[in-house]
Amino acid sequence: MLTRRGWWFFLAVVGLLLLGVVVHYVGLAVVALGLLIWFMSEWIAFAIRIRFVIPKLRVVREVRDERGRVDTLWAGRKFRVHFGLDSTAGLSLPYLVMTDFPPFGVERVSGPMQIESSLDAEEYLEVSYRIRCPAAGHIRFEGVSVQLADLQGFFYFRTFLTDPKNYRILPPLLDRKGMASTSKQHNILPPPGIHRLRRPGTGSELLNLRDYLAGDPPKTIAWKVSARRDRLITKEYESEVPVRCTVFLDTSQAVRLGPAGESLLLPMVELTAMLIQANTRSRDMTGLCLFDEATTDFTAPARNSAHVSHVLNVLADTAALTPRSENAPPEALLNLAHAYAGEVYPDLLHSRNNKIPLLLPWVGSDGPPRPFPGCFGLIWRAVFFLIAFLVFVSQSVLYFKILEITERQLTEHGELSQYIAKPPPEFHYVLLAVAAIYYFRFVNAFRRALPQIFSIRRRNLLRRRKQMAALLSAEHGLAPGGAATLMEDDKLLSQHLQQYLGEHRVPFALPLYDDRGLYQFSAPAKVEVLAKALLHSVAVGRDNELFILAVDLLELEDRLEPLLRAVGVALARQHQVMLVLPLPAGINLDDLPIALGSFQERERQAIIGLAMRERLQRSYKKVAKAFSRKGVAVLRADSEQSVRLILTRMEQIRLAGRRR
Amino acid sequence: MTRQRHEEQRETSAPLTDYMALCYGSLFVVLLALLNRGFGGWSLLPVLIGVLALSFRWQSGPVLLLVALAWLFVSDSLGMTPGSLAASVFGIIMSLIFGAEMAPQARGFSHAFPTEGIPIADLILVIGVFGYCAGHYRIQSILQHIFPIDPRKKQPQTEESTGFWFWRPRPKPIQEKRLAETATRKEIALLVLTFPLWAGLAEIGWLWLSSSRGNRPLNLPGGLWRVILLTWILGVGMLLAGFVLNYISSRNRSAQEGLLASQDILWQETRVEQRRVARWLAWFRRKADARKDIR
Repeated sequence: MLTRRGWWFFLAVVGLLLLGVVVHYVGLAVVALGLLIWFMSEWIAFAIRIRFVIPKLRVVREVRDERGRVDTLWAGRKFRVHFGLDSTAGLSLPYLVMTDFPPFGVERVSGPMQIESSLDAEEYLEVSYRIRCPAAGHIRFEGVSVQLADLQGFFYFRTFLTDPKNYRILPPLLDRKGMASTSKQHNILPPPGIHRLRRPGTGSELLNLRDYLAGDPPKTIAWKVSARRDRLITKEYESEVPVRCTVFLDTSQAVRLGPAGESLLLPMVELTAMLIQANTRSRDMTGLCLFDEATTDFTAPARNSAHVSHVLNVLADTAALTPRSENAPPEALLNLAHAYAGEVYPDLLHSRNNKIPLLLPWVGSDGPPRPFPGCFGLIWRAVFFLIAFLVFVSQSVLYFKILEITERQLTEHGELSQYIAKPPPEFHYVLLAVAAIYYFRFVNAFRRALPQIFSIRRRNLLRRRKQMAALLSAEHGLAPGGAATLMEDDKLLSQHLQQYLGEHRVPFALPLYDDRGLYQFSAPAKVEVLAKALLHSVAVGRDNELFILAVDLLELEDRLEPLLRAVGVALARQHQVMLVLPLPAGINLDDLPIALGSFQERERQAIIGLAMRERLQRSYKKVAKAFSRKGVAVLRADSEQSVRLILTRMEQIRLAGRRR
Repeated sequence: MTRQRHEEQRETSAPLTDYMALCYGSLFVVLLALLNRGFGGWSLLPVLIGVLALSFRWQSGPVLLLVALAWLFVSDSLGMTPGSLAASVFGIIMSLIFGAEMAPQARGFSHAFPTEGIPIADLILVIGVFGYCAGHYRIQSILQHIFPIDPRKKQPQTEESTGFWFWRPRPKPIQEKRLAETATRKEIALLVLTFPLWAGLAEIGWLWLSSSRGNRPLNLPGGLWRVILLTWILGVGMLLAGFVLNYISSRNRSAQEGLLASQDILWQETRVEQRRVARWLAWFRRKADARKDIR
């Protein structure tokens, strides 16, 4: 709390006071005493203000657009964030700087994010700034950072007033480019949202004539034909059913990867959102099936506004999904989470609540016990214990030597030996055995603590681990034994760190490959899950439908067999299938394959990037070829043409019955 | 509302000029007090240092003023001028380092009698020094920084630096200054109004301290007894204040902080046992996962 300026002044005044008091320089002593009384009173006043005013500060926040307050945001639009500080305390603060902590994933357009002022009793401070939401998902406002100081700059205090608020960012609204034409181009077109099915129904177009069956409504009897044939003939009309479209959206770990706003999932979510809005305007029904490596979640096709809102909310939640990995090492996540918690929850990392013991390296973790520590580890252990054993043996020999000398001295001075009882020889052996047990326990603990004692990096990591383990244990309901568990179990800690960062919307990077060099996010199981979901939709489908498969199949070209079979079944049932493939940012399929040998750049990353690009291009071509053979159109998720092509296909489906 | 207030303040106040005027005025008061005490021409020494610190924005200005005052008092009590005291100190240092003997400075008589109290002059001196220190530090808050410098916050570099790393210009840390518009005349007036209070308290405190005769039964020198007394008063006062403030902090804890603190106490009490159990459980989970992978 005391700044460097404050310390210097305090020391100077105390020194002056001591000089004045000891040597009796009255003028100096009075000056120093006056300054000291002033300094101490300022100190106490500052401490009291912190303790009484800070708990009574309340953060007020609102996000508004042109029309007023909003609870849901839209991607690609601008909003104004108003935040303020309301004080209900009876004391004032001499100087305060309040800074908003902007959520990850939004861009500040204009306006100040901090305010500097004094805060009088029961005063309200407010400031606003404009933000733009570039992509769908969720954002979280954590609160505001508050810095306090006295007017002289002697004392300083920083805290964070948490006021977490989550906002959903819905996918972008449909623009004119993606809209389908709502006017009939030809008279043969059925009205929007209607698809003529060549099955008997209640439409207006004649489908067939058949013999009258008991129960047929009299108005369907074709009287002229009946008279001509001399028996009752009934007219059958075509079915007029709504056009249905179901989007199968891949939400597996593979598509969640990537920097904020650049994951593979986002273009697919935006495409789905545009599609559902365009279809709803054309009065066509759109359903949604979210699937990942294990589960599916169906939303039945509908076309009302409530359904659109529901699907858009679901899509926003989907876009906010973050990747998880069971095998991610906790070190990098730990540093990130600790830095974040230190910024946003300084009170939870304060030594008042979350102490770091001085002897933490002795009680800290070096990971779970390993029965086979590896070749190098075995040699290191053997050498260490050999040295420890030699030390123990030398000390034991020394002990017996001292014992022998003592006994000899006692024997020489016979008058002393009659007062001292000589212990039996077994006593010394038992004593040594007990000492050996404690000695080797100590040595073992020392061996484990060695890396933490001598490495600053490891010691800091251990400290952060202890603090974050305690925080996560309290926050995720693992107390009272959770802290110790998280300190020992790397995998569990990694999972909780990912959960913590995910809950607070902090973007984090995960290693793509595990210890064995295997890619962790390929998610091949999703192909099987998608195939089952598609077959299920075909089984429950009532008429010719359009199935859009928005799925990342790159690098899974060898595992497509179940999905291709399911697509074959769907096509055989007169359904339409389209495949939408997301591509990582920066991959241009129009480029020619690049020969690495002719490339001059030496940067390793660039070469790896190029190799990956080439591999993805090959994979894309293989997947596209496999589906094109079945007659399935393959589109790209990030292409502006994709929505138009899908809507055109919807029109074709609408026309299909008429043309036949 | 705040922005409006700031605009009004910008129009009505010139805080920096006011604080400068306060500092120069305080230095004048210090000069008067020192002249009144009988320091003569050397009374200008602390004033000069104060003016230089103000002009060149020395951060250590108030501390230098206090040191100059102490120097003046010490030299006068030894019957020397501050210059001759400096020469003596220099001579002692040279003799310690090089062994060279230098001629001792002539000693005269004290003119200001610094060991004697002159209540009015002392009060004026307290007011002057206090006014200068408070004003100077507030000017520093506006011109230099009010919050401690955070080495993590650096100014963005305008151009990419090249060359050997030692010669490359380092990005400077950001100095978070006080917004000049937030300084009001009201706060200056409040500060000036408190001058007599602190001066009076200091005079009363000194009178009480110097009148204490508790050293007589213990046969201690007066200076030592006053130091002991002062240490006890300050120590006990700070201890009590710390206790009360800590108690208030504990009462203000949120539920989450309370849970965390309780869990931490439990962990500290049983950490060896908890660690042993957790370690083997982690080992067991790892083995189970490895078996699952093999299958």
